[in-house]
Amino acid sequence: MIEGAKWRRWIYFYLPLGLFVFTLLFPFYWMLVTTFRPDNELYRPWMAPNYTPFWTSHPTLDHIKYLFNETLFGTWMINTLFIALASTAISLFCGLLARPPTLMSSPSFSHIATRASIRSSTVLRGRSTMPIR
Amino acid sequence: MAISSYALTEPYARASRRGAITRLLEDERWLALVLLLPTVLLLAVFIAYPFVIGVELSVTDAKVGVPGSFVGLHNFAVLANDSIFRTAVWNTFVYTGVTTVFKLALGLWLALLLNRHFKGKALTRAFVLLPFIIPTVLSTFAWKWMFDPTFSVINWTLFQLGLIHGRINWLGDPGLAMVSIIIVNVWRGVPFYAISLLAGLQTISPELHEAAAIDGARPWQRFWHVTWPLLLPVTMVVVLFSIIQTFADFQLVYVLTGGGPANSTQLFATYAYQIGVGTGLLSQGAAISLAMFPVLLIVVIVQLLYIRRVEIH
Repeated sequence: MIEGAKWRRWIYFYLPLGLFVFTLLFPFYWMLVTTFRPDNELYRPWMAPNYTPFWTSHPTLDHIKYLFNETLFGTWMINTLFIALASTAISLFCGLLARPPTLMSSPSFSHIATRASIRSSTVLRGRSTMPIR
Repeated sequence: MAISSYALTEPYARASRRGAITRLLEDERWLALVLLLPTVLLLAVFIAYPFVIGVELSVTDAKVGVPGSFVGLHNFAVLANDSIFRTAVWNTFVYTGVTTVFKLALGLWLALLLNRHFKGKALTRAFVLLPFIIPTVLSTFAWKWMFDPTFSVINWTLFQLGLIHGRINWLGDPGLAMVSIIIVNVWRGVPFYAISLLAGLQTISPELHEAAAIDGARPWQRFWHVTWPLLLPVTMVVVLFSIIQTFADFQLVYVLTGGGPANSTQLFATYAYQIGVGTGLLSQGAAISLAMFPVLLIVVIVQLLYIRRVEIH
């Protein structure tokens, strides 16, 4: 913990953490505002006097409607989901079979691994051939 | 007769065959081989095969639609006299070096901040990871919009604060374009460093800090003599992993600047893509990618040696 007066806590902890969080998350806020911003406001140069960067007074759902009605967003979503599931399944399968012994030392993993190896050795004639580490 | 003998021997043969396989799997060496087979196959098809094809391409004069013939090291000789290639090499080293220093410094700082107890700790940790989770292409597009010379919110903010008086052409000016891709890469990389180092920080026993504090160590001394040495193994792994990723970076630069303006942000990967796929000189592109290989090999060897040393001790 930071010792001393309260202002030291603000200077050394809350201020830097706040700056970090702000900088790391700002682009996401920007994406969100841009989503609901109408086109005529979107294409307004930053030098224009009525440029309102951080807020929009005329939020619109046009862009979301466009995404669902005019594009194949649903198909893209399903494709992405399929690829994610398939690649996770394949790498999980390969990784589980070829797991390095070092992983076994982590308590939660070795619990699962032990149970899995007992199960697999039961399949292999009900005798444990693999040393349970 | 023939039919009855077949009917008799068939189940017996099957049973003995199954027995043979099971017996084989009882042997630990064979079992290990079988268990490793899927991974080996996957690595062979998706990593070893493309690599071999890459090496093969780099010593031919293949173009798109032309199989090409063997030309030895001609492609690499061409690279040695290619000024754009030299720019790309220099850019890649600058890009990797500068971003790694900033990512490590800021990531460690953030990790130290997140390691304290405060309200909303779990939520903050989760949200801070967002830039790393989101697909690079997506977040880079958001940055591209923020850097746009006409619509830039960054320009507006700096102008309102009175720091600038004209427009800043973030992606159009050769020097600033490099600064821009470095900013976005650091923004994307800091969460990865922070969360990995935070995991390392949590394994350090607080008793050591208490003992050091009782002995009169100031916060800075406690960091330098307790936290830093104990965190070093994790730091090494994270840094080396990040160097490999950054050195071969493609998406971010391709989306943000495409290697421009005037090749000022051209990296190994973007230049290889431009020559190999853009202009169709497959062999030349393969040679550029392969030129990256020795550097990455050294990094990987250092990493393996270090990890082994840590595991032994």
